[in-house]
Amino acid sequence: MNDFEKYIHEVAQKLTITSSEKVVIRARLHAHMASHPLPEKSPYSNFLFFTHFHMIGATFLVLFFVTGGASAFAEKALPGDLLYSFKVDVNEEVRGWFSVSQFAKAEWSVRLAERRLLELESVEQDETISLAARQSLENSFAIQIKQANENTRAYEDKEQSYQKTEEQSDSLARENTSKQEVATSGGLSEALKDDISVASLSRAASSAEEKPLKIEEVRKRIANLKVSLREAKLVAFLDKGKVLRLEAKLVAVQRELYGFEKNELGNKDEALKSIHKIVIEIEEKLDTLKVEASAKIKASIEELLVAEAGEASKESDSIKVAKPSPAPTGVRASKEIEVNMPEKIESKRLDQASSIER
Amino acid sequence: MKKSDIQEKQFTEAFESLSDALFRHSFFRVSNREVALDLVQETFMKTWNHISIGNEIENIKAFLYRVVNNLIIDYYRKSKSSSLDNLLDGGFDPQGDGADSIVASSEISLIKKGLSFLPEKDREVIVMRYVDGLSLQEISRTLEESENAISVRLHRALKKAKEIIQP
Repeated sequence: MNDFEKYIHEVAQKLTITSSEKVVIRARLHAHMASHPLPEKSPYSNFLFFTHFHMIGATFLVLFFVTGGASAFAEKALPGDLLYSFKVDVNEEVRGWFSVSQFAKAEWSVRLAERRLLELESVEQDETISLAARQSLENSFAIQIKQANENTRAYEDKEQSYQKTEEQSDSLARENTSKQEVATSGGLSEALKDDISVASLSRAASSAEEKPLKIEEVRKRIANLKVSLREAKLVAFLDKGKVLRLEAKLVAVQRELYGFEKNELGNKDEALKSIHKIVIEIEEKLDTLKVEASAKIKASIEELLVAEAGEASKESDSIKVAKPSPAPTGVRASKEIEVNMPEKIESKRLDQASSIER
Repeated sequence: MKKSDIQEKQFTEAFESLSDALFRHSFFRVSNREVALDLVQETFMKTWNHISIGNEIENIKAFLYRVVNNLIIDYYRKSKSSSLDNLLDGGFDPQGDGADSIVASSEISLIKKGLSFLPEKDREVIVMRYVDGLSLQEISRTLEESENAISVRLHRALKKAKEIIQP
């Protein structure tokens, strides 16, 4: 710093705020500080970051687990339970939203009817359930079974109209179905045949025996039929709408059986026989559907084979029409002849050997 | 001691130690004692407001200079219409504590008058460097310019000031 700079600095330092001015400013500043106090730090402020996005996330997580847990617990709830309305109004409603297609809707309504029936059977043991609750359960079962039939019919109608348009369309579309599907269907066709023969044999045996009918037998039959119906829905060429209708019918039969167990029906033997008869009818209808499916599978295989044979003949014609390849020459030609005509070469060798011997 | 108490103590100490320097800075920039006093008061109040809403200040000296600098810029914007003569007439009122004699007062007036003829940008760096005694680094940080640019500007401003003020 040179003299001039020092001079400015020294002179400037002589300038200060007077003590009276300072007192006034200090007083004003203190008043201002009092009116604007510093924020008191909370002892939990170190965890303050949790109060923002983390808290929102945590809340959602807790809600998720609480509602998820409630949903899981509600699945076992029965009428009169705290969570029963959650089961019916939330769980079943939400699952219903995911049933978008007509088939899914029909299937879900059959499942709901089944669920109501299971609840009816469960509350039978529970004496705490009021008569009104039981009655309301009966009503909701009746509504569900009606709904199931309606939805199944709606699905069948839709399928029929779809099939009509399909039949009108070009037969080439059918040829385009993957060979793999038809090949597996071939296996399925065999499996279906076995299935049908086993079921019909057991029915024939039971009718031939003419033993007095037992409720356990009917129950077992219903259980087996339930499984068969569920499996049948997985088969590609089987009429799913009809299978669903059979399922709904089976649920109604189960309700009859429940009434039988509750002694609601008059003549017990006759009632059980009529239930058994309906079960057999359902079995027979399922068999018919399986036969139909088997026939469809067979027809589609034959159709495909015919189509393949036609394609093969076309290919062979095109080969005949094509220009013959030029005759091979030189070393390559001799090698090709060797490869293509092994019999001639062999006979030539034998001739050479016999001449040497001679 | 609570954190708020520490902050309050640091702020009060900053007022006691830096108010004079800020006053000098303001005075040589605005050439008016009353305005300079108001600017000092306003600077400390604004700084306290900043702290009271939960903000932390790393270097209070640098922060105070930045605040006073912004307030001076605002002051110039507001009083753009007033002429240099009015400014000189109205603000020519240097005072000091008991010891400041008539000689000191005249010397201060001379420097103030000399600086007032300089462009605002040049006056700014001279005041910061020789009145406030800030280093080039501190000035560059306050004005948010490179040290090199500050050094060049300071050299030119000093040359001009010498021609005006040289006793």
